[in-house]
Amino acid sequence: MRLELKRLQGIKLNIRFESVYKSFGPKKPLNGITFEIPHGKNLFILGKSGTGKSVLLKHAVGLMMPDEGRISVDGKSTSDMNREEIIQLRKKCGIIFQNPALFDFLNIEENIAFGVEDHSGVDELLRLMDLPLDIKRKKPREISFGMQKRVAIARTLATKPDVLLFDEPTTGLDPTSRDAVNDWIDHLHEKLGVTQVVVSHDMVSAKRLAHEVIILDQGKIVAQGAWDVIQSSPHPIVKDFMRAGFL
Amino acid sequence: MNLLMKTKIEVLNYIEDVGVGSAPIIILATLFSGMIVSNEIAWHMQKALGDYSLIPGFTAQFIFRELGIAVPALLLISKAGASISATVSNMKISEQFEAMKIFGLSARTYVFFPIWIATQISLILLTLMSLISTLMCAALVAVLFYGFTWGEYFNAVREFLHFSDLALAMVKAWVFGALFPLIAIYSGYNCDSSAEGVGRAATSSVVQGTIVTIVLDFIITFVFTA
Repeated sequence: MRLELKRLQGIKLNIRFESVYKSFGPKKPLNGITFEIPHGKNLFILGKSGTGKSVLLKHAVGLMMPDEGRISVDGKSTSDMNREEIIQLRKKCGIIFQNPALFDFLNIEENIAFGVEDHSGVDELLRLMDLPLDIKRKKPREISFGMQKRVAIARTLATKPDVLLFDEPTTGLDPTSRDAVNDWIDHLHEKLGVTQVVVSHDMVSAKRLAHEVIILDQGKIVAQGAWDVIQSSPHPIVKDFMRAGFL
Repeated sequence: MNLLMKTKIEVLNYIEDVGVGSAPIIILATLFSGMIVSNEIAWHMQKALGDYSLIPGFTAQFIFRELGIAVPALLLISKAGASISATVSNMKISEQFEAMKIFGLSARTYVFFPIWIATQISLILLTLMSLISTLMCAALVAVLFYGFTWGEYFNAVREFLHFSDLALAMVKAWVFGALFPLIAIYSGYNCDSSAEGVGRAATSSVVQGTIVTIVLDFIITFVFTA
């Protein structure tokens, strides 16, 4: 496995949500969502807890299927994909969960190489993520939470994804660690030119990194556009968010 | 490393964790249960027949048909069942199973199957150890307090025990060892995503595992003896 950083640049994977509905009993986390993930940009999806942000991310990689509507990847609906196509889609869309989600029963090297079964690029990925090489033989519990998050990114990058999806990457982190994670998101975009979707309720991070922002409320998009557009939105939810983020 | 090799290593790791880790407590418990059953049967023999001569045969049969199997099974369910359930719950809450799906890999292959195989092997081996330790302690009590020599005791045991008794013990150990990890895995995988949910899943797996084991114990014994 060689990382071949340049390979990630210039790849176009079109993911489009068209009138997507999803409900869990009385809850409707997705209530008619339509948008397209912009290629080569950082898209931030913001919203309060329980507004369907993580559910939306899981739909993008086929971990969940919509009740109504369509999610298309390069024109093909995820609902029409067979198991092999869904697996390929998941490999193209690397997802970094809110938890590092490293496998307890594997060491760091095995975790990073898990999706590719080839250990030759592990050192390169550790260096890319500014991690010491001597952690390779350690188990996830033996390194810090911040390091675990970076190992999780390295594990995702090993599969050479075309789109990186972050589920609340800065939640629960202190300001210094939050800045460090944001630096990595910025770094990955600059270095690899990869499309990144970040689900968050962190306005500070969005202001710093987002090229485009979507604000969700009760399963619906209430505002969408560049940061300047969002900042001047008259929508009360957006104004509440701006106030809460002291922006 | 290919999948087969990885699975073998995981099975061995779980045998070390589940089986070897539980061996001391199981041996300790079975040593004392051997002493208890020998004393108890001696008391009944004295009351009913006024004679101790049948202690070895009755004791050995009770150990090979029930005590030597039920004690390690129930102890393993309490210790390993809760542990398996908590492990699976934590993996679910920390989104490790979803991460596996992202890589196109199955939790069944990588996590559940090695646990399932390891508990079966562990319980069969622990049951063998338990049968030996319980019988040896029962014999010790008979030698020390009821006037048997070691030779007399084991000659009498040979008269009563047959290969079918050992086979029954191994079948029970295999069935219990195959079933309780499934209950523990199911409880853990379907837990609520909270610390309370992890605790509830662990408790539930122990309670359900215990009840199912006792019911199956009766059914298997009934089928074999019928």
